[in-house]
Amino acid sequence: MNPFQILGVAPSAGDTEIRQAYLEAVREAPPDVNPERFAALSRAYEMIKDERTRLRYILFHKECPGDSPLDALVHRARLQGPPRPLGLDAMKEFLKKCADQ
Amino acid sequence: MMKAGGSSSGQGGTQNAPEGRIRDLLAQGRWRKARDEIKPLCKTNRDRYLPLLIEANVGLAREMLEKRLTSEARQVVAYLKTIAPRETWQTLEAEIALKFADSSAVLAACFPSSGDGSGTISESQRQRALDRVVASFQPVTTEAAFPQAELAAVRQALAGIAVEQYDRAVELIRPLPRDSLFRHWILYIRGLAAFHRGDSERAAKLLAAVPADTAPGRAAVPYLYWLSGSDGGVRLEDLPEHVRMALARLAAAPEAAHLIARAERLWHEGRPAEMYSWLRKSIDEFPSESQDWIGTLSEFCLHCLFILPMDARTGYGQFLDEIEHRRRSKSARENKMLLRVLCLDCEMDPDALYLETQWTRFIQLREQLDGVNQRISSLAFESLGSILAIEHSDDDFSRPRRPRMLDADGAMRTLKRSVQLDSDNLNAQLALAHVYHRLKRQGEYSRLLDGMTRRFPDDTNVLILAGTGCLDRKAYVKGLKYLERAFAQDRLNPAIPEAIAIARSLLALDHFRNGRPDAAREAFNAIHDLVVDRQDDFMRSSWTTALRRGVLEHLYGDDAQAGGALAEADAAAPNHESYLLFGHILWKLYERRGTKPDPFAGEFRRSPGAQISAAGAAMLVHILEFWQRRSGAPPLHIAESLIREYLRAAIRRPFTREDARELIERLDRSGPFAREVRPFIKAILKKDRGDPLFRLYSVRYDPPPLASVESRRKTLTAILKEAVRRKDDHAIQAVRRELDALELLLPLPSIDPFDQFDEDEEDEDFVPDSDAMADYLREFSASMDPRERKEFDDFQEMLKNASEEEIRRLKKTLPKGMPDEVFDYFLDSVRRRTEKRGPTEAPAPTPRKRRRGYRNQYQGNLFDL
Repeated sequence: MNPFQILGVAPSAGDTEIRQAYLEAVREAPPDVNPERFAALSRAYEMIKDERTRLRYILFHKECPGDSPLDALVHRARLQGPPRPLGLDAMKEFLKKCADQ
Repeated sequence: MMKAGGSSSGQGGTQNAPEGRIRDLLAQGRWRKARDEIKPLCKTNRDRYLPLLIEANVGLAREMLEKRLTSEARQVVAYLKTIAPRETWQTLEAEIALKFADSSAVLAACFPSSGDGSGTISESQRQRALDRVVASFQPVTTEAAFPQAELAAVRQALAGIAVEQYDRAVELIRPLPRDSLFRHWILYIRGLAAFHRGDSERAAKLLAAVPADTAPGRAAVPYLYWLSGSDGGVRLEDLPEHVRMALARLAAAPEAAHLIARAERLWHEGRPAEMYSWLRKSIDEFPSESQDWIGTLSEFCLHCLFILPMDARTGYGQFLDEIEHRRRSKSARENKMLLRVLCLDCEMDPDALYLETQWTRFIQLREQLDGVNQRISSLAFESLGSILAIEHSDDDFSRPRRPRMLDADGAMRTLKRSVQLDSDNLNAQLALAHVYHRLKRQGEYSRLLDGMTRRFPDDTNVLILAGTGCLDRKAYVKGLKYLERAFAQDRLNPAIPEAIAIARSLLALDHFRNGRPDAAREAFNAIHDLVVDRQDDFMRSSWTTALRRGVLEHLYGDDAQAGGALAEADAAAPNHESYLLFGHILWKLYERRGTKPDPFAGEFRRSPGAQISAAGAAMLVHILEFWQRRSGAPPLHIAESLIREYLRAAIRRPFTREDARELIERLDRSGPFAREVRPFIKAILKKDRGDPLFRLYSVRYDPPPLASVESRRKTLTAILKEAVRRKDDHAIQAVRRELDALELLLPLPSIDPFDQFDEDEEDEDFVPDSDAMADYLREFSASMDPRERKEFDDFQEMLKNASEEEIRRLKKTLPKGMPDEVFDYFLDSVRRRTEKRGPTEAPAPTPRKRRRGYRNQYQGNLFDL
């Protein structure tokens, strides 16, 4: 998964900003409370913690962000917390199709 | 429908001719015709024909419903009301209402006023009706016996969710009873509220509790996927389009949901190129490197290349290359993104010239777009150099060759350039050092190492490299200093103490040879700190350390001390034969003058008749392999032939299945001891014919002659089945590995990256298997030098005419490293060609004409750039 997205920083962020983002995220998800999130954060941090590792990631990473386009988008959106709900019209349309199915 | 049971109702008395015809029509589902024919009959004998008339009308009404002819269906039901009992037409009326009517009509049909036969409506129909009413959001005005206040609460709660008023939504449904008709909707709404508040655990629990066959259950699916992905048992490809759309709306820009849903469909249909084209055409910013959803979609569309199956990957790679190569890119940024992905894709099957050109173009383009960054250019050249330095053995089965770098000069050139661009790039320098070392460019290697130790004085990898470099130059003391510094920094890396043990042994040897036995003993004493308690660690075990010392004392030092050390080694060795073999090899390694007789060889030669177990013989093989891997080892032919004798002796002694397994696993199936291993396999299979692991060994060592890849797969599948039945995990894994390897061989005949360009050259008589292999063999033959080509052609000729017995004999002497499957496949191809063209016909001299594939096409135009 994209380490910049996991840590919530821009690709142009510097070492200090990335470290701060990492420490803040770890404070919210300490290893004893949320070990999976902590492991993901640590992995992400190791991948982009200094300029050389960042450049290496930007140049050579080839992980696919998901199993399909939609799966990739869901993975990305999940990192940003709960999504906004469907609007009322979209919800009506969706529920109607579910009822007709 | 009623077709099957159409002729069974209303029958009384003997069936006459018109009635028989009508029943046939009903059985055929020809409702209208049946109805028209019954009507006049019904007037003559109402009791006899009325049931048939009702049946025909019910069938007709259902047919209308299916054809969405609502008003016609209603007319038929209206007629049915005049002739049929309530339970017959009420269900039909409910069905019509469910399909086409408004909420009020649905409720009137499914929740009729009390005492008018509502019992004929099934519970599932009622539930469906309710779901439709809730989802329609239409106002309801009905006399139906139905809780309208609850419906209003549910709808308001859903509307509350849509405007992010989660607390209000939950409050609205709180008064509803647990057994409410809307209980599934209540769960759904509470689940949605928890989901959007970020309480994933609660949301998952509530949403999973909604019955899957209800509308809210189906509407919960995208949220469940969000919460647990495919781990929750939900597969995106199985979901209906509207569910994917809802998920896309939640995950990305709502207005892009249609685009994403279509891209998703194209992906699941195995059409990645069309998916890319669709998104590229539909989204102006696509492809993008941004961190938003378009960036994610772009990343997926490019990186999915690496997760596609091999055939699809080649096709999609060609597609992307076409865009890049034909300058059809939307923008320079797309071009840059494509170039990077194509470079990474090429690493799988590197072509030096193509790769270097592409990476260089990528760097140039990147500098134009994002500015000059020498570090990133250095990294790109480092990657390129490392790939060019990868060694390939280029075995042609008839003669294994020394591994060669893909492009040694290119590797040196690009790695040097990488170092020039960024002198802090340690990995580039390590890679360059490796290249110098492999090419035996000692001067450049030493200079580079000196520079590295100055620039990176505390880096463990540099210290190890510098230390081993000093050992190569016989600068043992200096080398030891580097290695000890590395060890002080990293106590967990086992390569460092091993390198120190080697350095101290070499130092001791040097001292002994130069008449400094005390200094040599001191060097040996220092090894004791590094000794490990593993008999198969031949560098650091106590017995090999003592044996080294004993041999050196014997050769250059004090005989008494030699005797003590050798006795210690013999006692600690896994068995006496291992002690003798290891001692014999050490003696040959250390003894330069040939003046003293080898004290180990004689006994080792005499011992094959002695009492050696299979486990003991396995240890001898292990020792031999250890020395075969080490550069500078003495010739080992005699030791090899003696070990063969030992293996023959071991089969005569009792051994366990585990002993035999360990021995067989240690051996290379096409190695020098294959013949000696077969009796062990046979012995185990004699005790248990079904033993899956040993059946697998049997297939490996004694494959049926001329077995096709397909038949071998069948055999392996049968073995796997038995292994699964016996829960033999070791065998299961081994067979699966074998099957995986076989899978790689299966598509070989059709491997022709150019085939899909041959749209206008279809050859009706073309037999893909043999021709593709024939092409392959011709190309393979053409790539050899003339002498090798002649040998290869002779070999093919000999195979064509060989008898089965000769083939069987030949298979027992396959060249090292050549899998049996490859030989079978090769043989099959040679013979099929012979059969097709007749035994005397020479192979066609000209290969099929074809257009070039994407890589070859690119190379063809490279000189035009």
